Amino acid sequence: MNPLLLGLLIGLPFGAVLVLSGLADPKLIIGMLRLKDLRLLKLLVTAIGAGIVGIALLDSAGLANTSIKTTHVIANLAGGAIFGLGFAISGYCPGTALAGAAEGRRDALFAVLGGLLGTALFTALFGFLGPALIEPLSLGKITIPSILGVPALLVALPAGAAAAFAVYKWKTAAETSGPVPAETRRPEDSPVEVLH
Amino acid sequence: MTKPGTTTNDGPVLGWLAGGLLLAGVLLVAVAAAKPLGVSTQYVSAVAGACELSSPGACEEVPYFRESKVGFGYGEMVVLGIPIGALLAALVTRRFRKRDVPEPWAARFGPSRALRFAGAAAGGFLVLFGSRLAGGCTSGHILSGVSQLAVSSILFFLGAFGVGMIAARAIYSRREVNS
Repeated sequence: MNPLLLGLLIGLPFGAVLVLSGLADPKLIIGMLRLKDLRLLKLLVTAIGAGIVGIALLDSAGLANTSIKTTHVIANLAGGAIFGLGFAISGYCPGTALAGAAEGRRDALFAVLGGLLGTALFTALFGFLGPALIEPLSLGKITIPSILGVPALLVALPAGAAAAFAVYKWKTAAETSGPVPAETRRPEDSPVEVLH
Repeated sequence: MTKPGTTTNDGPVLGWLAGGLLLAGVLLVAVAAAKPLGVSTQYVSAVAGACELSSPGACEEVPYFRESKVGFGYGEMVVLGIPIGALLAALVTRRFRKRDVPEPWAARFGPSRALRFAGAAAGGFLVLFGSRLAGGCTSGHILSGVSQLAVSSILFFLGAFGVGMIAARAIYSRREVNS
């Protein structure tokens, strides 16, 4: 398929899910970070749990186009920390700011503009930051399974099982955090059907 | 379709389980069809595009633009698709509504639109600066990267949520208004 068309076909549902799931709502993001409203945390555990198992299965079938980012210990941690501060202030991340702006959140437009400026500053400082923070402590494209020297499924399945167990617990426990919207009740079809 | 007053006292349309599974579905389709999801790299493409517009020819040598392989291709179309898909979803579900100041911000800093816009811009600035330093954002590192069990992404996740949780607590804790 034409890569441009393919990109659009993936971006459209991505944006729709960001809006429909509440990820583009700063109130829910900030509620999650304050641990006052765990809906999005549960959503992320669900998504990442299913993602871990799904990618490992696709990969073992030779169908995954994986792309592991190089580990730069300092830059990953420091960048994450700076990101976290901005995330708490704005309630947006790079993708959800675009989605939020498109559902009428005008503050999200400013988050996008600020983001472009932040990107421009990083571009200007790259010559300095690269050697100072990115290159030291670079460990290559490592993953948990590659460090342990085991097949990815051996890590992915237990991780997926743990996520599925958490999802099961959350679904069966009475929902206490806030008004729960019309949940699309699914049977407990956890992403992992391979539970021990 | 903008209908204030109707109690769209909006919880999300999708519950967390459906939302999480659909998000994973988008990720898996992307990984099977092309590559993992990512958004923040395309901010570099946008800046490079703006650079090219303002001073044609002077931007190709910028080291970070080269490093990021800026251009207009698959990844840029994904990111262009995000607001279009979001807009369509908001229109179809009748959730499109002009909103300026999110609740927790208003509870803490008041209803000033200008203050919120400044805060959102400052936050967005840090979010993208941090993402570029770390080599990815929530999409590339947390969703795609942690799903691939990448160490870089797990480190980013720890930094982002560790500091994010401390900061959110520090920033929004006073004058608690229960929502």
